[in-house]
This record gives sequence, C-alpha cells and structure tokens, in this order.
Amino acid sequence: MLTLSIWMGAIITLCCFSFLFKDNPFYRFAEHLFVGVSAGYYFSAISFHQVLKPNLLAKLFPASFGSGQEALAAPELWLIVPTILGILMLFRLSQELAWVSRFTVAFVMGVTTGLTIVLSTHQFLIPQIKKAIVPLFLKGQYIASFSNWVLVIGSIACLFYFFFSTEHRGPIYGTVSRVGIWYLMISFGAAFGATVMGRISLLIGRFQFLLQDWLKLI
Amino acid sequence: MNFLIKLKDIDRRVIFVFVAVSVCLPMLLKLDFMVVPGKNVKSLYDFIEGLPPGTRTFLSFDFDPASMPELHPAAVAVLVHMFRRGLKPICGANWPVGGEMAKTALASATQIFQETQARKKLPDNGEKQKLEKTRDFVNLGYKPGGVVLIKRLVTDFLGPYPTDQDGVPTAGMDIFRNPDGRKFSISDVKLIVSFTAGTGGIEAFINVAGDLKCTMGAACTSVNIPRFYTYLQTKQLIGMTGGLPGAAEYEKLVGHLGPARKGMAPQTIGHLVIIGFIIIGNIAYLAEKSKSSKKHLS
Repeated sequence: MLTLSIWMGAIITLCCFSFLFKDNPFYRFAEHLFVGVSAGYYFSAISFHQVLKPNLLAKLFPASFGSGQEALAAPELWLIVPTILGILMLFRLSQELAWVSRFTVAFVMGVTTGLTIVLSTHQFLIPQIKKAIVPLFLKGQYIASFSNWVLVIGSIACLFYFFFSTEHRGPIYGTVSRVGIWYLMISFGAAFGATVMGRISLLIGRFQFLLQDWLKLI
Repeated sequence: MNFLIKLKDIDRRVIFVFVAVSVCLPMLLKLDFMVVPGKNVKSLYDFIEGLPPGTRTFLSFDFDPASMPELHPAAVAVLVHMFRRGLKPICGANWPVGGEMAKTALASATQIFQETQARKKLPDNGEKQKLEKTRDFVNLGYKPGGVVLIKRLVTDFLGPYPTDQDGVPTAGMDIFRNPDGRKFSISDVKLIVSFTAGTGGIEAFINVAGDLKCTMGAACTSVNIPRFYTYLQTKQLIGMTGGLPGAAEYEKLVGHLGPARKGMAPQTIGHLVIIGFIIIGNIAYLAEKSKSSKKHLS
C-alpha cells in the first residue's frame, strides 16, 4: 500500500513538473485529479465528518449522530439558529432569492468586524506604535542607537509616503516620501527573497521525496 | 555586447534546468553545509528548555500539505524537543487538514524520540520512557472558527473539544488532569506555538490570547517571515523558526539530522544560482540600455 502511494505521488509530481516544459495532457490530468479529490475530501472528510457532524448534527440529533455518552445527551435546540443562518446561505444559488443570504453575510460581517477592530487595535496597532517609540541615543550602545534611528526614520518616512492628500513634492515632503519609497523597496526585496527561499524549500521537499522515498538514491 | 543582450531572452526552461540541477546535485552528493542557530530560534529553544517536565503546551497546526516541506520538519523538531524535556504537547488545528498534519508530525516525533531513547545508554535500573497517547500528548484535530474558536478556548478550553481527533472523550484524559482537581484552562498551558502557513495562525492567537500574557512562539513559512518579524520586536513572540532554514537551526539544536538540515546545501546552492541569474539579467538589461542610448546619440 505504501509503495503504491509513493508511486502515485511520484507520478503525479512528475505530471505537475511537466508543465514547466509546456502545457500538456499529463499536467491537466494531475490538475483535474487534484481539484476533484480536494473537493471530495473537503466536503466529506472535513465539512461533514469534522465540522457538521460533531458540531451540529451530533448536538441537535444526538440519538442519530452522537456516539457514546453524547448519544444520551439532550438536543441543544439553540443550534437551530445557526442552522437556519447556514441554510440561508444556500439561497445564493438562486438568482431571484440570493438576497436572502445577505442576513447571514451581515451577521458574519458584523461579528468579524467587531472582533477584528477591537482586537487588532489592541494587539497589533498599539504594541507596534509603542515599540516604534525608542530612545535615539543610547550611551555606549552605538549599534543599538543606529538601529533605533533606522526604525524611527523608516516609520516616519513610510507614513509620509502613504499620505496622499498632498503631492509628493518639495524639499521636505518630497525628500521624506522618497526615503519612504527606499524603505518600502528594501522591504519588498526582503519579501521577494523570502518568497524565493520558500519556493526553493518546496522544490527541495519534492526532490527529497522523489530521490529518497521513490528512487531510494539518497 | 550582443551576447549579453541575447542572455536577456534566455528560455525560461534553461533556468528551470539550472535550478533543478542545483537542488538535485547537492542531495545526490550528500553535501552537508554548516547550520548556525540564530537568535530567534535559540530563544524559542531556550524557553522550551527552561520549562519544567510535565508542563502542558499547545501546538496549533495551521498549515496544509502545500507548506509541509517547510513546516513539518520544524514541527517534528519542536515535538522531539518537548518529548525529551518531558513536556506534554496538546495539538490542535485552525486549518482543515491541520489535524492530519499534527498526526503525521506526532508519528515522526514519537518514532525519533523512541529511536534516540533506544540508543541512549541508561544505568541498569534506568527505565526508558514510553510515550503514551492521551497522557503524554494528544491530537485534538481541526475545529472551525479561527479567532472565535480561540476566544472560546480562553473561556472554556475543553468546551470546543469534547473528544480528540479519534473520538476519545477529552474529559477523562490524564493530560488534562490537574493535581488539585481544578478544571483544565488556558492558564495551564505555558506555551502556545503555531506552525503557521498564513492567516488564522499565530496572528489569531496573538489577537485573542495576547491579553492573557500567554507566552507564544511560531514556526512560519519563508513567505511569512517579514510579516511575523514585527511580533518578535514587540516581544509578542518569544521566538520563531522561519522557513526551512529555521527548521534546520532547530534540528541542529536538538541534534537531529532531519530533512531540513539535509535541505540546507540544496537551498544555498539554489539561491546562488538564482542570484547568478538576477545578476546576469541586470547586466543584460544595462547592456541593452547602453546600446539603445548609443544608437539614439548616433
């Protein structure tokens, strides 16, 4: 069984790699297989068995879907409310009745926005602002002082760049926003470098599978 | 000059071949490059090293097979370290297939732990420690909800998890038992580590559990390193392993030669090849620019 799964994995990997040469039926086969298997797996193994069954059906109809002690518990009738909200989402399938799903969307948006605004401000924005307020001169610690200067100048310059109500011109506004562009370019470079590193890592993972598990060369 | 300009139009397949060879060859030649653990990886290691045996930790597997080459080695290394220290990891997942990722990582980590135990020379009366599911570790599997789920964990940890991933009731598990009979809560978890491939990972924990002053660490994919560095600066994260190199550094600290350490030679040579192509591309661009400006002048 293990050998079969390794062979299948290796063949599908090669089918995917064949796209690097050009689009071909092997790649399209792997692509369609992936979409089909993912959809089936997410619907049955994840959505039904890991989400709907334990969180809704086993609690609403414990005698039918619950197992062990759970089957003897009383039904949790309040779960009818989220069930109705979930069913309303299915109205999106109809063009005429799609508006009905907006009740659910509004509920989800309301909860998410409320949570996100409060928590993001509290846990992301304020700590970052606090940590950007640093002493610029530290006695005897030249590298730390330099690092703090870089941080403060970068924070101010980038904020200047994203202030679009005035044209980015002039000795002060133009210069500072240009410094902001440099900082942004460096951060984009870092992000690009990290992305390349990630992609090479994924390639290494596949080659380790092909050379070690499949061909047993390493 | 013309040769340089021609390089700009090099077929992308030539580049693919170069990258593939640069990754394959070091593997076949079994090249081993030195790995030096960085500050952020070491601080996570040191924190785990300092936790007393028996401490419960929460590991969230917030990734899927697409990020497995980067995050699986980190997860295995962290789990092996925790098992060696006698810590009790409680695994959960905010990503749908995270439960399966946890299962795979736990299987690898327990195997590595048992193998190193077997190699260890113990005194005559010394007993080798055997890891037992539900006593030394547990896999709670995936639960939907993200931020809302974590908010619930803060108020009632076992509420969203009446059973583990295999359907075993959590109420009677040894791992959740407190000596004083108190109900298990998030305050009993001394470290939260999220293996994060994107949204719904460590940021969700910082968002919700940050107020509780829970110590948190992360292992993230390379793409997310610049994003999560900000949380190291604010000390919201105690430490972080970033991408495959981060995992290799952790493997080095726990003394395990895993896929991450084996991947460092191909990673380095692959990067050198890409840097080479970037330099060639820029030289070709400058050559073309100077040729067109000369043409303009004449």
